[in-house]
Amino acid sequence: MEGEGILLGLDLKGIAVSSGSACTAGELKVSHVLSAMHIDAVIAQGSIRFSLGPDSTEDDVDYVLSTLPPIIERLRAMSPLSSDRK
Amino acid sequence: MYSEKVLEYFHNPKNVGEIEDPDGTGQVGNVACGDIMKITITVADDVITDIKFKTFGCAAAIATSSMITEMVKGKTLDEALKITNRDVAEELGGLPKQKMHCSNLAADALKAAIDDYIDRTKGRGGES
Repeated sequence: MEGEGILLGLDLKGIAVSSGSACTAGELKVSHVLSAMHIDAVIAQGSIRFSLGPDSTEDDVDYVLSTLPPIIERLRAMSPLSSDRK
Repeated sequence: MYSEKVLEYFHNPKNVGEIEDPDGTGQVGNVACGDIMKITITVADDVITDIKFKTFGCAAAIATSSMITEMVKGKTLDEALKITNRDVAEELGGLPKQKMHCSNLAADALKAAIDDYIDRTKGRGGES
């Protein structure tokens, strides 16, 4: 799946993330850092950056952990690439 | 950045999936661009009786895929082939400029599925 879909799903649940590094916001290309690490483009397209701040609590993290899986499942089910890739 | 309609279609897309044993299959896009669409169709008497999509990509890619399945279900192949990527984007209330190229491929995927159907029918005709 692509990062933007995850981002929009999380946004709807009140969780703010980024689908790229701050210095490349607005670019559609795969992260040059992940590319340099030889991360497969399909995987790299789905990267998400979570940032924690001084005010983040353990409950916040738990909320993300319970909210994220159904979003991923939905997008995977929609992807034509998912049958042979988890 | 997205219109309400695009977000609505992204969150609640219609006709998601893959037709088993379809009459035509079309897949367009590439991973470098970030969007891949696969459309499967069932055709009876030159009419698209069923259509489903699977899409890897951003909200625009998913919304356009869903939109085109609704636009062409029940239409003849000729009518369906007249729909352009731009028509799909307009039906969604427009797309952000940077999404018009990579993510607006639904009409191409549909055309590929119809071409596949036509190829297969010709093949069958040749065999008999």
